Amino acid sequence: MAVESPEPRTFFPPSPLGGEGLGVRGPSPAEFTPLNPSSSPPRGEGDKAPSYYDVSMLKPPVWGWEIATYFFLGGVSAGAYLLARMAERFGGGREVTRVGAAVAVGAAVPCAPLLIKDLGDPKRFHHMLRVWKPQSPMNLGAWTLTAYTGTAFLALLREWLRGADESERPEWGRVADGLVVAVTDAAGVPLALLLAGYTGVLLSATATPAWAKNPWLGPLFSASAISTGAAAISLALEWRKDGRGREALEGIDTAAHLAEAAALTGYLAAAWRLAGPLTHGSQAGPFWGAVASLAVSEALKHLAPRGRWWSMAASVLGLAGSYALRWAFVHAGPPSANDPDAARWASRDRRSAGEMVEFRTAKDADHSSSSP
Amino acid sequence: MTPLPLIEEWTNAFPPRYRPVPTPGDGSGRVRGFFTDTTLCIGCKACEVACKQWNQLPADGFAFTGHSYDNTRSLSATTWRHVTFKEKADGERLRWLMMSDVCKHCHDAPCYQSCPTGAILYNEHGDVYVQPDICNGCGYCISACPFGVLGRSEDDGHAHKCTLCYDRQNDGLEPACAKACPTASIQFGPLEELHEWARKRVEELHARGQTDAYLYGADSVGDYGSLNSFFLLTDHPNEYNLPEAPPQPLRQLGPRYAAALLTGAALTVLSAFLFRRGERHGR
Repeated sequence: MAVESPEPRTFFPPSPLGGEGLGVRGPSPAEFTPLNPSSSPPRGEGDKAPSYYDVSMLKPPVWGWEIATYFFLGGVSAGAYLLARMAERFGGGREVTRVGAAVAVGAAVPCAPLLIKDLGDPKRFHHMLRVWKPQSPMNLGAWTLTAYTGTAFLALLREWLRGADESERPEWGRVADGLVVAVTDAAGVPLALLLAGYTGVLLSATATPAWAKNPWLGPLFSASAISTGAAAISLALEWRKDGRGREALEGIDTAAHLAEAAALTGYLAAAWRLAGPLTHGSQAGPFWGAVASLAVSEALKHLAPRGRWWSMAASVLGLAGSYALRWAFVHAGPPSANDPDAARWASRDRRSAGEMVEFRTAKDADHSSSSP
Repeated sequence: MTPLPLIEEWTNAFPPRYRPVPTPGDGSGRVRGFFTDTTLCIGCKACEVACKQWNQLPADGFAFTGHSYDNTRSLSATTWRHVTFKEKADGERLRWLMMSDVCKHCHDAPCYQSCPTGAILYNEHGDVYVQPDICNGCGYCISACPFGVLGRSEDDGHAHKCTLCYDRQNDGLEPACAKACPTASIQFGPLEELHEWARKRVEELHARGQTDAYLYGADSVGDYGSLNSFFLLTDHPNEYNLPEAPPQPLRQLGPRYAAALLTGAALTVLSAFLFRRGERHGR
């Protein structure tokens, strides 16, 4: 059965341990005599990587623009909520708290309808909450979004009910206010942190090569949420020609952008060639557009003359860039899963610590997965 | 829509008692599964047809893939058995690699873990089962499966896959595909017995000179322990469109959550610091 081939199994490189290594660097097929029949490594076909007619072994994700938009709006909402709470506690000005509470609710309201629209059977949306199953990031996310939306509404209701002069408030009013603040801070802040970051963890908990097991997606989405929250509040304050607290917001935005850049670098280093759809595939436009947009936003803040319109432009570019980034990451899923080379690479046997020899360079925009 | 189906939906969604994971097996501690011996497969596709007929799955239309005699292409919501048919030039000779692919019914299955509605569970036979009246078509399991088994139906919007003939097992019958297989390439039975039989089969093939025969999924493969559907292969798993080392992407989520939450928390603390500094400077 076995046919002589001049080279020993070429799709595994030499073992880093040297010599015969772990036993996976094998003899040529002709002299191939496995020690353990049931776990013996298979062999390839000459110098060509084994494959099944270039059909991917994975199914493409079914998530579309609704999910990308939800990831963005959920991040804006969570970021604005966190900053509003911090502004109230540590003094960023009353307006930051008020505007932040409004932005948090405004961005949270479309989230549930977007998620429901994306379902295969939308009238069963409530099945998401029929079990408590935190080991599923999506179930945890559904519960988080539900509870968080409640606290966001509570925070906005409080801002709405608070009068201008708090010294005239009766005793029971102060007690009630303390209780509400306890809920919006002790429950709302952890929920907002989870809402900001779980979406990245969810993507990393899939077999889709561009996302699978990538530990940087969570930090990336968390940092992006804070920066978009700051940008949204900043934009609303500028619109209302209220400058107080804006300098702190710009500092937060810059810090979050730095964290985002670090997480993005980490993502690209970890995904490497599996980031192909983002770096030079079908999502290269949104992806590099997002990177450029965020960079220009930072440049405007620090280099442009100080002025209301420059500042608003910086905020808009920051928001647009973050949306494009979420868009690119969500839409990179289908081309990544449909790429047979990427699917094979993501599920290669890492114990052989090596590379398949034939990992083709970009065939076309959607099937590209060579190293960036 | 009349209100009655909606009420039915709601009562379905909240059953009186929810049991997360029943003990696998039928109480005897024996989980049944598939052993697919590709050296016996003749590519007749009787398993595909039997599966479609028994489970009343719709046709997938007439497609011409150009992939030798495989016009099914892959497993899907309406195809729960798929016969891969690889024509492989091996030097001067042409080999046919045929394998009837199916859901692996993994222990620690990523589809089970990812399912946010609890629609996917381990049934009393120890098999991974999608409850069609619970699934709301979120699509998470489709992306979670490293074997590309699950699909979302265009008809009802729900995810579907092999049930390991849940209804037939309830009646003590073997699954339709195993029953229909004319060469006993697909064998169904208690896993320990199948493992024993499969190892004997590999030894026999090696003794007869087919030294490239090995078992895929009988022992640990990738992030998984043994798979409940395992295979005897004679070439690299990728030739059969199986992953070399299937990942379980929902393992070790703790550090990933921690990284996400710590990033958010650190920036939040920094914002508190910046707000306080801004106030002190009166800006």
